[in-house]
Amino acid sequence: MLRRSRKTHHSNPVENFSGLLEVMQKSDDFKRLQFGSNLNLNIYYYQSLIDTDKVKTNLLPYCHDLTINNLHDLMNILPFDETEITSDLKIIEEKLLSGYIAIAPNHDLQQVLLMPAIFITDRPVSQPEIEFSVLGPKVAFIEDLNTNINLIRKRLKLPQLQVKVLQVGKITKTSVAVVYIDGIANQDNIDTVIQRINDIEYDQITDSSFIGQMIIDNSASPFAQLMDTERPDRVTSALIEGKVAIICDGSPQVLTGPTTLVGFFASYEDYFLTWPLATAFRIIRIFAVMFSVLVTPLYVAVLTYHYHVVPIDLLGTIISSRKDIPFPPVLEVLILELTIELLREAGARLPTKIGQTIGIVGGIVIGTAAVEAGLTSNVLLILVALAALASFTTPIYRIGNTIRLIRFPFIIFAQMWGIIGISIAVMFMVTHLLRLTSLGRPYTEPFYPPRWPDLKDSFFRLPFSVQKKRPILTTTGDKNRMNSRRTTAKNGKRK
Amino acid sequence: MNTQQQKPDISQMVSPFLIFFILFSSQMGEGILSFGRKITKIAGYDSWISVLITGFLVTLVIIVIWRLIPPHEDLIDIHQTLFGKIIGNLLSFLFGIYLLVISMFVLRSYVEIIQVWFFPDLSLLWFYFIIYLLIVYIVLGGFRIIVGFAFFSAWIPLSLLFTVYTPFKTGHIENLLPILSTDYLNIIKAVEPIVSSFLGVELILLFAPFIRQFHKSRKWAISANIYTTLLYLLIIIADFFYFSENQIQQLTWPALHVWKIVSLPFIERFEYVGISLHFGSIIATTGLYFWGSVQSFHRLTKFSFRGISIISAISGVACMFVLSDYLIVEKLSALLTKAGMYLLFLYIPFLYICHIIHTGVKKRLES
Amino acid sequence: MKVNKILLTFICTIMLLTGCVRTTVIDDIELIMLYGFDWDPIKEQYIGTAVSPLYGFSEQTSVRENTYYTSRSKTVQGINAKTQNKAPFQVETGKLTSIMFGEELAEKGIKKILQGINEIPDIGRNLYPVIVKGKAEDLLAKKYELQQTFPHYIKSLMESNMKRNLPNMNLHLFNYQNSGDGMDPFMPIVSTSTAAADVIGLGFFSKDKLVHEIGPDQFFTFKSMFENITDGTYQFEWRKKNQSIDVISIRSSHKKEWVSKDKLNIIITIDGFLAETVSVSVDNTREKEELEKEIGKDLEKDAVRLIKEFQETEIDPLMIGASARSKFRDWNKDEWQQRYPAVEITPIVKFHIKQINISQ
Repeated sequence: MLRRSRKTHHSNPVENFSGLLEVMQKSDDFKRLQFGSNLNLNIYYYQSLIDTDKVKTNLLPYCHDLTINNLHDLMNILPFDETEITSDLKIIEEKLLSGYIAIAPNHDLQQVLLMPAIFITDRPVSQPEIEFSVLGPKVAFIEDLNTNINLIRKRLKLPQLQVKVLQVGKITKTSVAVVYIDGIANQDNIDTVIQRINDIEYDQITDSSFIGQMIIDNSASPFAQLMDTERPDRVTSALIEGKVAIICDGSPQVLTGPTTLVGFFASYEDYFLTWPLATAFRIIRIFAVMFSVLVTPLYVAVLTYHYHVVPIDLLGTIISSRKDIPFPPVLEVLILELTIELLREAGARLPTKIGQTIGIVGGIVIGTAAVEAGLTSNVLLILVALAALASFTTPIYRIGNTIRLIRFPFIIFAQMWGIIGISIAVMFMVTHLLRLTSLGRPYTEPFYPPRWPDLKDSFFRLPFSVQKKRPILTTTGDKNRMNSRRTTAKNGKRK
Repeated sequence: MNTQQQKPDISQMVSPFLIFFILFSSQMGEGILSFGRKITKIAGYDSWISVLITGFLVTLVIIVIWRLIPPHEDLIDIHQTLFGKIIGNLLSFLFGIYLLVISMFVLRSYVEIIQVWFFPDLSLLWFYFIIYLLIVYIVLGGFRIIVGFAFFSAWIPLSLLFTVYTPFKTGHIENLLPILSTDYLNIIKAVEPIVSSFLGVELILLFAPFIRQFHKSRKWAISANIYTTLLYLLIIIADFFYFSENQIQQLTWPALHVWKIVSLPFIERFEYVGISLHFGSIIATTGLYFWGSVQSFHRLTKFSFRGISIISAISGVACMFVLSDYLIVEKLSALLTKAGMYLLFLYIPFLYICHIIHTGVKKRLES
Repeated sequence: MKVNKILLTFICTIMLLTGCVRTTVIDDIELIMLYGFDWDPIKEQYIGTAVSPLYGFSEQTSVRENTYYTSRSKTVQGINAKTQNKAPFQVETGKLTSIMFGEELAEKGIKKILQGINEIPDIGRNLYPVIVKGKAEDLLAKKYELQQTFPHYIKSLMESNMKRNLPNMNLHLFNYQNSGDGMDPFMPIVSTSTAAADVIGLGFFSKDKLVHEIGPDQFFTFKSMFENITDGTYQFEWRKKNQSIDVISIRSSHKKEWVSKDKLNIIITIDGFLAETVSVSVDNTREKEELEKEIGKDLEKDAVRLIKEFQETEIDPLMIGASARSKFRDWNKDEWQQRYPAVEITPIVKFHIKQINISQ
């Protein structure tokens, strides 16, 4: 991961402002203008970064003002807030690259006036697309860091909400904000996150998932160990539970942690429904996932080894449907599963409209044709389609990918030793989950280590009147939810 | 993460109530499927009383164990203080070997079922390799992980309990009557074969320092033992309702024959599913014993926990060449049962008496 | 890193070479679902007939066919092995629905066959042992035009009959009653009919030999004494009114009450309703009580006759011996067998009419 050996342009020292200008002028979008009456001014900027209108209307008229004798005069009349005069090359470079205009008098290139004229290209805040919910707020994060923090702060009008901005990435110098509520979030978690982010050494951080992969406890695991979400309400709720959020500039996905496995099966919409409904839907979702992972391995196991367990009424159906198929069940399953994966990949990569066509072609044409050609049995086709459907029920996209993948080792084990093989594979998976941690907290909580109070918001979503305490998982400084007085910062005792 | 210390720190300890799951999982082995045959041969339809007696005796052993262990110490420390370094360590080493052999044996007797029921031509080398890979993967996670595995597997026997519905519905309650039709001596004799199904208590001697507030956890151990006893009682009574006395003695695994008749709307022949599910319990038991033996070797020698567990796993895979003959397995089974019985009912009380004398002498010397 | 790669390759190779066990892919096996056994007295060996259903495409054929294989051997495994010689796929017996015994074999004794069947872990216990009037081979070798496969047909036939007429019986229960003390097993008897097979009686065994038979008109009496009924019918001739009434039992329970060591009351309580009684019209309490008593008496008479037959042939399918064993501490198997024919067994039937019909 470390790229210390490779020299970048950053490592060449620039001695003075003119030296910097020389480097920058190599790029064609770097412009230099000369104005002025009393004072001859040089104006430098990157055309692609600034708002030209602002320059025209706000800067040029003042440049011709006769009363200006030095940069300080100019700074005082300019109608901008964040102007400054500096000779620090590092600041000049950074500001120029983030959309500032540098103004320097012709005779003296040591002092530079920096004036903001950033051209905002970000899209407006839009609807959530990955975690869409029918009920509830329809706002999603966008790529701009400040907008994202703004979306959170709007929901949490609290002075204890703290944002720590860190710079990561050797070249990209991405701003990463660690957000938490002081007094609720556990200090250990905050320290762990900040320390791990500071330890990152990599040249590019273009998305929060880069950070996610670099700071999680076990990066070889197919299971995501930090929750990523695009919903500000979900992040707010996580912050109030005492979790830590990581927002990365340029990424519409915000990471929260520590998290547990069941957390991935909780949709934020669950909180908008009454609790019996929400609980029922969560249980359905978890069953759907188990079904999705286990159904094709069980098909392989039963059809290859354990014909005994098929009820006699089903026997005819299954045998008839497989009569003409030349492959053993495992190949049949692998072919069909791979086909589905293919369709999914193709559908995800193509533009929406063509994607729909792919769905129709794949689902109807290939499916029917494969059965008619005797390549797969129609029983299996139903099962695989259901399994694929079930894997989409997960509210968090990332865990859906995991479910797609872990099915394959199960199929191989099922081919090796039938149901016993599946049971061995399940045991491997359970052990793996037991060994996983999220920011040092157990991943299988609240089942193991058993923390019964935390079950209130896991498999089940019990009514709000029961949710009196924050989860034990986060070991918050303030455990009570009900007493609003206590949200004021107070470093309570850790349990 | 994988380094194991000689003495646990707080991050490796578990809550006291988890001793319930630890003890229950270490008791739940292959025995639950087969002990019906073994005890009926001796005490007939009255042998359910033997189950109760054994449960009671094991509870006494648990009480003794809790009195025996000083805080933050395990069997190895006790051996050293009572018998000195050399003899003490030798005894601990023997104990470690005993645990390792039991762990192999539990697995072996279950693989026997898999061979009979599923795959007579199972390639044992490869199967053992994968299983030991799993066990090492569990064990290297540390004590918390093996306890976590035991915790999850402890729910399996509970979920299989619905299968006793058929015997209770269609069985014959009068089989149990009249109570005490056999000799009292036979009922006592039948305790011996059941003890092997109750083994697992001795592991607490090694687990003790890993349990937070160990001395408060005794009630959990006792309730686990009561739970095991009740479960066995339920199974044996279901077997007696369902089978005639002559029939049950011919069946190697009576519980599996009960499963043969269970048919759900989507599954017939439940024994195939049942055997696969119960495998989880077996792995938990094997893993707990394996961890115990590795821990005792680790405490005795300077080798790393990781190294010892890999060596033990390799010897476990190798043992299948020795344990290939079912006659040897039967013989070993009888031997281990005897060893376990002597360990529980003679050696542990003996240790306790030594412990009392030792502390008494020490007090007198101090005063 | 390099060592790891070598290890990985090694593991993969082992997996490919030795990981596989014998597969029984569901459509590549010869699924034996019915076994018939007959006795060949000349060569002194068993004749086994194995029936395996032929499944075609479900949309194309509505009529299912069977293939059958006949082989001769002295053991069950031998029959299996010889069946394999004739079958194109590997023979699997895991989904047997029924085992059929020819009449002659049943009379000779079926112990050896049962032992052979019981030893195979593949075979379930929820299958029906059946006696075939005549030869089992004759029944199995015929071609039938059925909606289901023939083995499935036999299974359905047994299942539905055991709900209504026949007492519950499957391989496990047969083993239980065969091996238990103070009890004897029984099996349904079927014969060839125009459709396929009919249940024509119940055959009683002493140990493993068929010794006694009863016909369908005694099924209800036997079933009500043997087990609790949830759904059964019984035809009653009311002589006084010269009517025949169908009694449909809702539920019945039975209880064995030992008065003394040699005196047993079997108390049967039946709650039922009457069918086809439009012409009888029971509308007052006295008449209802009278009818209840009449039916009870009629049933008792049948039951007494049945018990007498059992005692005469020295068989105990009602498990009276087992009941005595659980009651008396000094029960002894040999002594009981001596005493059994002389035990005084009185059936007492208490009949209650619960409902009348939808039409008045």
